[in-house]
Amino acid sequence: MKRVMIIVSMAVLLSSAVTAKITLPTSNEFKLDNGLTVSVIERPQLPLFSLQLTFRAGSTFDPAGKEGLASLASDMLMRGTATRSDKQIADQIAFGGGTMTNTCGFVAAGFNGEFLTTQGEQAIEILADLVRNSTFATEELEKTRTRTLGFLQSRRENPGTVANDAIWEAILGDSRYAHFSGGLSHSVQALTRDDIVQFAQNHYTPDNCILVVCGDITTASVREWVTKYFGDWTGRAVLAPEETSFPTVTGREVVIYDKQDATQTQIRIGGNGIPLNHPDYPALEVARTVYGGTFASRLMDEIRVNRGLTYGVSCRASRFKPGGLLYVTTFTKNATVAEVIDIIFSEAVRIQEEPMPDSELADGANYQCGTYPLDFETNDALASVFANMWLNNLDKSFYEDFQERLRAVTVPQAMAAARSYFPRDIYKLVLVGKADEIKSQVEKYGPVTVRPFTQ
Amino acid sequence: MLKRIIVALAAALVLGAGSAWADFQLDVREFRLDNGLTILMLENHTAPVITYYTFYKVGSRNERRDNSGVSHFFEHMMFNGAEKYGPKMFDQALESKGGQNNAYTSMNVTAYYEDFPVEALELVFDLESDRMANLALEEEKVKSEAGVISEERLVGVDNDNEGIMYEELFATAFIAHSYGAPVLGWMESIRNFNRADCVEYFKTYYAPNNAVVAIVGDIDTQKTLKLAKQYLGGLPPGPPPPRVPRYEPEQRGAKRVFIERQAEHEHIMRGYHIGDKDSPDLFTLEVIQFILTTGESSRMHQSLVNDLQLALYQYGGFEWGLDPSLFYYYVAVAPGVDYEATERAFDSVLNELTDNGPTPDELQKAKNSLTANFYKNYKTNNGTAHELARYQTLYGDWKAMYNFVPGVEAVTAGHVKEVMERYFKSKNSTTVILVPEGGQS
Repeated sequence: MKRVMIIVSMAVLLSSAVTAKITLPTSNEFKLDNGLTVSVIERPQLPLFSLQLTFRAGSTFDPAGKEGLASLASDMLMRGTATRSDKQIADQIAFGGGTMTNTCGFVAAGFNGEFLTTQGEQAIEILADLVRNSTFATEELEKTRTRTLGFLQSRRENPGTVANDAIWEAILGDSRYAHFSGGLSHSVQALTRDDIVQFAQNHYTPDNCILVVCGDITTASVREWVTKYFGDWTGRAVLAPEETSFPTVTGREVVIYDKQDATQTQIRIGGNGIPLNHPDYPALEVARTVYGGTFASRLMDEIRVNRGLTYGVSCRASRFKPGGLLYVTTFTKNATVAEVIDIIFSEAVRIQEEPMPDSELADGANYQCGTYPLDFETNDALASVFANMWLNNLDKSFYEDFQERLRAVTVPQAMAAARSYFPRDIYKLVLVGKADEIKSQVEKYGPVTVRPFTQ
Repeated sequence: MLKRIIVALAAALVLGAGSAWADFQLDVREFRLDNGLTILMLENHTAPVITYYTFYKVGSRNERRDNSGVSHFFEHMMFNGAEKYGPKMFDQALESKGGQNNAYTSMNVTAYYEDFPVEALELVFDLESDRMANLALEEEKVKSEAGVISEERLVGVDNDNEGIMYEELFATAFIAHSYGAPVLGWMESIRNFNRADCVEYFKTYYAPNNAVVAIVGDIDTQKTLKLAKQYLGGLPPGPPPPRVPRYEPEQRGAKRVFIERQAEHEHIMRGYHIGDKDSPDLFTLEVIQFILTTGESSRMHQSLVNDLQLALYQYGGFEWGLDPSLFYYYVAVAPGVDYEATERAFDSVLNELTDNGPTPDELQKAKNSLTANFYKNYKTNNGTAHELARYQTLYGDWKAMYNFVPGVEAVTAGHVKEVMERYFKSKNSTTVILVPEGGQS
């Protein structure tokens, strides 16, 4: 009998999370002859393990006019195999206490699962069956399509969701990252079974994925099961070239999505950000934290704490290989829309032009450094980290050096990052609210287009 | 600390998920200070981080008709300055040391947490004792926070279809008990809170004898106890909080409410009165919830979403109430489908389980999954501290958590049928239907 900690372990050198350098746990990697990459991180503290199978098969691989194909193909992987119905798949996973879902984002698609240690072989066997033997049956495809179309329609009920979709579209224009990864109604409607089968053949191949297993499981066991169930899997990926850059936002544009019954307006303001692994990242992250990244940030302080105009305001940054975007997100009652937007701009200008006190810079870096270990606490989180390294060709230093790079940021560097990326003169402004009550308030920010709330 | 035993590989599938955890024991240290404050500690030295939870045994159930939302309002005020750490200083002090925090209010409790690096432990004690002892409650801050919470209500209820339905469901189902009022409060209440309301509330509920603290992470128990006594031991106990009237008359017939709003499709929410946290039916209801609504293999999903295509998605749940509460379901009706067809299918699923009970495999699947999900709560410092404090607050003993797995394991098909018959009947139901204004698009 062994006494162990209740939390999965994380190797951290030194004595303090603020000053510690994160060290990722050892991953035992091996490759099958067919090209399948497997990474095992042994963490035996709890009788649980997580797995992630990640393909380069996200929505940015959708051919033009077939938006939603990657997502629909990914959904179909759970809809039945040669020997299991979709209900049997769900039943067998849940019977032993496990969970598994299919996922599809912009770049990656695949599976995330969490199982009891005792389900080890069963989990790998089911996973292999889904990936290798899905039938993409026509009847199931039509059901999944109908549900997908319903979801796409249902998303349009929520003002926050509509605002988020709209700001991505406004900033990214004709980029493949501009629309929700689930696709567009008209394109999903037109997808055929042949499209899905072709997509699967081109993307769900052993040389185009990584299987990460993390938790109470041994490398030897994983190697045995993966060899047994994936060893004779064949196929070679045929991938469309990935996007290399995002469109550049120029000028100013204001778009109102008119929701006649809205008593509150959703606000999004932003523009281009930075790509993954860009040298400006640490400086921008510190500046973003001070501007709108915490409860004590300047935006929260002025808009929520001092004036009581919102429940939440934050500055968000998303980064991908070809580029990124940065935008402020908040909401306020219709009458105070301009007041809130003015503050968003004035606080951006303040960070860009007035050197922040050294203590505020340090606080921003400390917050990021101190909360950073929480990103590595669970099996799921670590599996994501290792999958992300494979997906984006990153090495451990990307994660392990991050705190050190944050602490090295100077006030001039943070100001320069804010000048380059915070919204000020060039931006897209999206509002979801009652046009009659907000249009006159926002005309000063640029040419206004009013669109119906539901498109 | 957790002691575990190695089990044979196939055992869990035969014996149930619990067998992998047969010796699950946490080495929790429990202390009671002279002022009545209960403190739970669990050492975990795998990373130099700590979680600190404070639960107060107060939620919207403790409110009156004329102060709905005051518990949640007060939760916000706890971040707006005390004697030593003035306005804005709580977040600033903690975040600058690499910590993060948040809080929530429910019908039964109010909970606050901090996740932070080890060297911030004394700071957290200082921050928590400052606000437990000497909250400032400045009038100006009360007014400003009313604006913040108005916006929270606008985004989560008034401009959100599911939020509106949830509020309507509880307001209709409960005619006497305070569970009928929304946790966020009615807008009129929010806009009219004043300092006096907050002061009265603070004196009544925010006393050490009405609180539980749970600290989990890279701590030394004895040193932490010393800090606890230093910072929290001197706080005076308060009088016992007033008793909450538990009365809710038995429902005498089905209630139905229609809401018309801008929407893309129709929505259904249905609630049934159930017992409280001490009900002998509690674990059977957990099993029922799993069988009916949890995951893609659940009956509601398989029937409504998958086979019949009458719904987009569905979910169900209930809060373990200090008083008898409500088991509720939500169904997003598929666009273009009439809610009546979906509701008929929904009723068929309920009737089938009531008449025939679960299959043996279905029952075992529910037990295995509920057991696994129970243990997954203890994967992190935050999850562990939350569960310890929650059980201690609800049951007066954190060790009540050890009843969950055996409780679920003991549920039989007969129990499921009995409980379905007892609660899930038309006479005991409240249904809220949201239909798009002007018809479906």
